[in-house]
Amino acid sequence: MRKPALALLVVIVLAIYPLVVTNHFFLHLSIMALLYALLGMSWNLLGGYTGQISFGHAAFFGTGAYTSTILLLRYGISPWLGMLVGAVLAVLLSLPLGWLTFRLRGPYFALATLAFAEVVRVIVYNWDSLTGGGDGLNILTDLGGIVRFYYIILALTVVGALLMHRCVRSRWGYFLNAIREDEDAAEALGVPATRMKLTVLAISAFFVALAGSFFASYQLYINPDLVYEPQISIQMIVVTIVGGIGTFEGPVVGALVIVPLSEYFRGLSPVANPLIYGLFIVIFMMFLPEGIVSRIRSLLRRRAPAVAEEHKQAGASV
Amino acid sequence: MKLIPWIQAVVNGLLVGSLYSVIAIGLTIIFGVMRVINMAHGELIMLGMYAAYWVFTLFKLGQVAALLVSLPLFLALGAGIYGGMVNRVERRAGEMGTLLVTAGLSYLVANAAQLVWKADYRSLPAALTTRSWFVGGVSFNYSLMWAFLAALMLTAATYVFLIYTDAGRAIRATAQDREAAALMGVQIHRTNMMAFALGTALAGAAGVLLTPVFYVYPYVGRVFLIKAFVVVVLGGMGSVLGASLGGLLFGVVESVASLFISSGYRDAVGLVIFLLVLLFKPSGLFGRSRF
Amino acid sequence: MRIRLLRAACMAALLCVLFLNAWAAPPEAKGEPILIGTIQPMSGPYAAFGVKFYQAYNMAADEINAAGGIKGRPIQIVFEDSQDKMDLAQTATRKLVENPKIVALMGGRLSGAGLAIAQVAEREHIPYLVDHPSADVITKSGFHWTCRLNPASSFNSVPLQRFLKDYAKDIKTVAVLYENSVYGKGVTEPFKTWLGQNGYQIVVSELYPPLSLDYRDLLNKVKAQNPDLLFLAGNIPDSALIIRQSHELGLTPKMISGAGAGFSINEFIEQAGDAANTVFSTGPWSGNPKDPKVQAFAEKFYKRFGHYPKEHEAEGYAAVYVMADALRRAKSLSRSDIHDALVATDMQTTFGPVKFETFDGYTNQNNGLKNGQVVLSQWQNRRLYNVWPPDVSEAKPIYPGIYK
Repeated sequence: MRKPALALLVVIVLAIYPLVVTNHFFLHLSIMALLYALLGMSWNLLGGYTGQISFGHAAFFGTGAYTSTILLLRYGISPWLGMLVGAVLAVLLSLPLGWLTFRLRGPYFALATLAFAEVVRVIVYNWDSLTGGGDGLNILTDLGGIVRFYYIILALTVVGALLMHRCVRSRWGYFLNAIREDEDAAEALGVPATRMKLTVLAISAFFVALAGSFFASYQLYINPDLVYEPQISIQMIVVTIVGGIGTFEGPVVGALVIVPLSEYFRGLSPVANPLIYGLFIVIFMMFLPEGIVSRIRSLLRRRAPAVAEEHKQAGASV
Repeated sequence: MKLIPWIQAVVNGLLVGSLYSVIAIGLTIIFGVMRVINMAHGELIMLGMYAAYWVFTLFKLGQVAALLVSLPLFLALGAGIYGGMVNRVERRAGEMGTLLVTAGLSYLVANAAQLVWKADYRSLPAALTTRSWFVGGVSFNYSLMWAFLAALMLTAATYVFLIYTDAGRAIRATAQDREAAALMGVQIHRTNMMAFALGTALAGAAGVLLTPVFYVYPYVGRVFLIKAFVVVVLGGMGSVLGASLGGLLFGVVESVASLFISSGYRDAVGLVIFLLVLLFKPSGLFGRSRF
Repeated sequence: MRIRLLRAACMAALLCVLFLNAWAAPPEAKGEPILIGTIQPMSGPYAAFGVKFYQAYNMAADEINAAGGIKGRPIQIVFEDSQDKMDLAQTATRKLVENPKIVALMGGRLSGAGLAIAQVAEREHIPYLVDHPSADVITKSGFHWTCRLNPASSFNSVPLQRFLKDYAKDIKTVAVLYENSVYGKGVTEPFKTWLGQNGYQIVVSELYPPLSLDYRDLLNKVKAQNPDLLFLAGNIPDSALIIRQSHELGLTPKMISGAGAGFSINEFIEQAGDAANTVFSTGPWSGNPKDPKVQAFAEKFYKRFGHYPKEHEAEGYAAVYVMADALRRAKSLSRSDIHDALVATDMQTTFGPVKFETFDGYTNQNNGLKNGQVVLSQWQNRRLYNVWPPDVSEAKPIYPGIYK
């Protein structure tokens, strides 16, 4: 994001939003949109910037969700702390995942991450004594009202965005781009590709797990299918693609477009929600694979070449 | 140590495995020729299952009729999906693009099916599906036997097509070396379409054969997709021989493993095999080592 | 002057009449239906169960309304679809709760859904009458707002236990297959404990994921152990598939018994066909077969819907009557007054006696064991007959079962 003033304005608007809008349904939509913006940005770090398309991020989401819930139900530990523990566990989980799968490229990598996430789901499903198995876990304690949750996810998303923005705007960002474009060439030039990929995966996993814990505390009920389903991974991907893979604002825009639509339809029919995701993937991949933000940028560039030149010289083009 | 349960497990594994083979062959042809991983393959199977179900329920006709009806339908469907969608995405967004668009298609089709046909689980009447023969204490399910034979015939027919017809040879040539094939005058675009159509038709046929044996419901495709991937990777991406043998092998491994491990982990067997093969021998048993 | 006086007097009279009317008329509009919410699987793999409750509830409601309703107001059941999924059940419940016209909840079907609804009911202070979800935990969690008229799942296997002790004494080895759900575990864990305490050998114990496509390998494992008794706890379509495939594999123990749910409904015999003959089921009854009121209900149900009511229909039908009784006794139609009336229920229904008691760690649970509301039944000639204990039996048990 080039204009911190604009970003600040957006954050301020978001902050006063619940004071103006009190309809619970709209607040719920906003919460889900922010949640997916966070998820999309986290996924995008690995997928868009580093070029590693993962289908297995649900593993981290679920780990966050289950960790904070189990800690709360069994040991009475506050979800705040549980969230952090969950995020750390997700990072630890990401290490073997990365080590196993990063030697693969392209679709092989994608499928391997999918298989990995499924293995985690099966384990959680069968580990009845710890996770409640197929029945899932119910949270009975009152964790606060909808407005409180809104501010929590807003804070998480803003903090996450700031941290990820710093990563991407630093030297790191160049390295990640290099890895994405041609990993072997990058390695030849001295970029420690595997180490970087593992680090990015860890950061990505951290935030996705935080989001998972949030989700569990908000929904008050989780089961293996809800939080470990491949659909969670797919949703992160869709949000990013629609917005613009590899752009920073992309996932945010994508979330704002898709999530309200799909949550609205979810109320009408349980089928409509995934149907919309499927529809969006197909339409966008066919007609707008670079995403909304990239398209707008390129349109603007065509309109104002002088301004674009200025921007191009000012910083890395993303 | 009683032998019969082992024999039974192997028999069950081979019978069900033959169906895995048919599914995997379709998937591997598509991948071999176009490097497209068709994430919607499972939904094609599901559509084949519903086709057989409706042909039976509405017209009281059996599987042969269903096969005859579905083969041309699915060929057309495959050609349509390729021409209308996959081709375009592949040019604009490459390998990952097709992976993603077929994933999207899979969600679209599965949920559209639920919208239209409801989430109810359907099955053919029990009288038709539970007959079995007993040979020395080992049971052979009638419908599965039929499916096994049909699967073998389909596999053989596919081989014949690939080896003895011009179109089949074009497909094999493109799979081996795309540029060389193009230089030799093979119409790549048309070959791609044929391969996709063939793969789709095989998926649909597998679905028809599966209907008496498994429940039909909108999300059933997902279960078979994972198994198909395991078989394809096990046999080697792009290898038809690998897919046929891999299917049988995988079926047997699943069945025999069930004798030891808890049923909850049965699905994990395939996933673990999948991961192990990807990690240590990505080329599979017969295929080429290509990332 | 007189005209003005006259006008004023008319005005005053009119105002008086209006005022008195507003005062005297009941707070709710006359004839406006009283809404009771229910969450059932109306679609999805368990839709067959939802249909049963739909039929039973509506039949009971029609009868009650025809007889005058509740103080002149008809009752109306509002259905929400849960697909028997716990998360959907939760959102469906919240949706119902947010409608102020809905005064109480009933139903749930799957034990997991029942638990989810009970938790929402507890948080939102709305009375919830459980008529089918059986997991013990639902009434062992100290919920104030939940009452259950059907037996808890740990009661389910008691008639089977008695049968094993008193009749099928030659059974020594048992294989147990149960679905990985609140229901499956709730029914089976107590039974396994009892088996262990009474010297039976459990040769196979498998918790299977429900809605698996193929049980052949699992049944092959069971066959390898050659058990005397095969105990199953699952829903349709699994129950029918398991029986079909066990028949296909040639699994022939001395006795196969389900535990209600997918084993005691008509769909079971329809989907499993002749393979299901002589299969037993232990669980809630469908009313005392010797009671003429129950017989009348069964015949009336058969005439209207084409099949005889079983456990689910009997429970649903009775639930509406229990609800109506509570509504009549309630001081007002506020949720808390209805709740007070509900907990004080003590009546006879077609399902047997209903009285919510606190015992053995249960709260607001109808004591089905004491009342004899659990029985062992068996499929004979495509119909389900009570076969044990003898005082409520309709037919003699065929033991050993014929499973070839």
